Amino acid sequence: MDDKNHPNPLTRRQFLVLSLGAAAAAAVPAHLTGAAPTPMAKAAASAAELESFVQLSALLTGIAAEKLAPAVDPVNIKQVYFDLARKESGDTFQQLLSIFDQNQGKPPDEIAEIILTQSGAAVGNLARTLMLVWYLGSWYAPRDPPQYSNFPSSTVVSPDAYTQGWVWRVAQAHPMGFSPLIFGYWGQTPPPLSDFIVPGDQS
Amino acid sequence: MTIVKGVIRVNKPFLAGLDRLFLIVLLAAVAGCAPRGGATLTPLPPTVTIAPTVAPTETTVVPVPINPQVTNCNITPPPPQPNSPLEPGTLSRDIPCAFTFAPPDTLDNLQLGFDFNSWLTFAGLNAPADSDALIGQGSGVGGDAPTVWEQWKEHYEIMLPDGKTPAAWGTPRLIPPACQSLATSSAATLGKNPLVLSVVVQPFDTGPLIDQAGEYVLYGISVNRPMFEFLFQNQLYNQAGQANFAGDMLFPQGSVIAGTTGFIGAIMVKSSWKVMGPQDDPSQFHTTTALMYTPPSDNPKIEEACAQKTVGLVGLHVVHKTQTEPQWIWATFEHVRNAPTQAEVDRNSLLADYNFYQPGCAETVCPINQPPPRPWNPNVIPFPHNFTSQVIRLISLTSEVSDLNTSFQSLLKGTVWENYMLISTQWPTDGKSKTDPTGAPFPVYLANTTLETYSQGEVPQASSSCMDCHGNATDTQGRASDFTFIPQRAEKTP
Repeated sequence: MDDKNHPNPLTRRQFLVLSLGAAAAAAVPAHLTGAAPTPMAKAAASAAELESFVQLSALLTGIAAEKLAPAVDPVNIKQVYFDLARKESGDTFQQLLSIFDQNQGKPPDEIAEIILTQSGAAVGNLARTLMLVWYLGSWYAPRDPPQYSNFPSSTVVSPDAYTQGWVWRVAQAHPMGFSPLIFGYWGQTPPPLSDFIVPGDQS
Repeated sequence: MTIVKGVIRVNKPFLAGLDRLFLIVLLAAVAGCAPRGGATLTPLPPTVTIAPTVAPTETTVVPVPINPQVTNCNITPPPPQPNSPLEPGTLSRDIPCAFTFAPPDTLDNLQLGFDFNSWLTFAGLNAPADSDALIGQGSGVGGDAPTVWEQWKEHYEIMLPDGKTPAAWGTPRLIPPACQSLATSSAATLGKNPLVLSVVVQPFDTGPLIDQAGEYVLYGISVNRPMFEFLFQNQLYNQAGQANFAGDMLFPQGSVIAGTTGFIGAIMVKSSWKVMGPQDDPSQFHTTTALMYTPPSDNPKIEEACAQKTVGLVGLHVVHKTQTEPQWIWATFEHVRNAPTQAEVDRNSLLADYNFYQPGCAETVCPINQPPPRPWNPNVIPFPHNFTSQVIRLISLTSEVSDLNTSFQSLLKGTVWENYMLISTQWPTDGKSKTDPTGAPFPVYLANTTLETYSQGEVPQASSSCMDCHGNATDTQGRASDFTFIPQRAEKTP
């Protein structure tokens, strides 16, 4: 969401200074402070942001980061969602990542409380949009929760995003029209939920 | 990629009436002749003339091992980078028994390892079958020769009409009756094991592929000895045998125990061939003289026919079951002049001619990646109304695969094999996943323009993905059949 749409518009720097203090401001990546980053620094910053995004996503969805983004990741849907969030919600997305980074040492419930209720409507709504995109593979424009009762419009991010929607796996099922399961799976008890969302199924 | 479902009906199977007990004795007799490696063939003596004079006891019945230990696994490590020069000794007759790679354990590096593995396998399987020479060192033009895998069992020799017992490994090729007179009169040209190519339609009946001369592309499917022995010894070649089979249908796996000692495991190969016409230069293809068998059909009405054709290899799937890749490793190769990529078409960077693309032909005249209109009758050549397939590769090769291809092609320079390229290798990134039996394959989509012409793309469940498709394979009893559709061809016994 653009700053002009924020209920209490702040520039990126103002927000950081006011809410996170000077120490937080010092930790802001170079590309946000106006200094020209080197290509390597830019790549490192981007990789760090992507990692933050995955950890944030794990917090928001309740699904292990290793499941959302395996070390050897054939689909790499995390990058698709990361790029989409940055494109659609630029500054708010950076703000959300910064808030998450600054609070990573706290208990998950406390971080969620900060993001969803204490950081402004734009941040909270974007967090909800991220939950939806991970679960449904569709992008819902961030908006206040009451508006969701009106069947808000959404966009399926891509065919791969549809198959990667976590709602199917949390239901221990598969998307309509696509299944990686072998013939006859419908006659068998599905694996436990933990196999889908908790790491360690390599045993 | 998908291995097409097709059937050849043979009215007089080679081993009709052979008593299974005699067959077991025969296998026991040759137990000591097991090949030292999967790429080494040991012909068996003729079978039907042998009859034991004394009934064998239980202790003497020792079938050949389905997946015997070998000592010549190729364990050559991949290069550090795709464009690293390769040692001349990289080419070998020995194939990898399993996937080996050098760290790091990243997606790109693993992909390089699998692609390198695919090229080593390609080199081993395409080595001359009639000598100990390396790939490209055969006695024919451009170092060509009949290859190792062309001596393997073709699918129709295993799944026989009425569920008859197939002939043992090493027996001469089973020739359909309609081809027998031709095979006899051309025996000197065809050799002991001529390929019999009968399939012209791609998977899911999506259509045939028509070359620039209006000829149908022909397809063949072959399996190696461990895969054959698994089907044979477990009597999975008919529906009764499959019904009686109590175990899981899991084909033998390739693995390395230590050093070069290990097990080859099951390998299946699907090939595509174009007829060599006046416009083709056979010195630029691996060629063979094959029997083109057309089974009879009522709808559309097609007469049974057989013809002898010189054909050139244009596509090759190589699929290998290994211990760490229970979803198999799926490699696919093509002739370099098959078709341009979409990117090459877009920037008009085209060769003068292709096997399946006509530069300069307007899309209204030459529709892209569209099957020909029905009826499809391979006896009518050239295809009516001057139809030729206009094929474009929708997913370009990665730069890493292109670099690796360049490295291997330089080793094969001056031979027919320099005209072949790896498209990619699909492998399971999570082979032991409890929730995804396909093992989370990568790349997600993989198609060969001659074998999955009409299902290229990146649409889940619609576009070609080897493991996603073959994960649906079953036998005739509705059981999962370990990523191969071959058991589904088994017929009922009378």
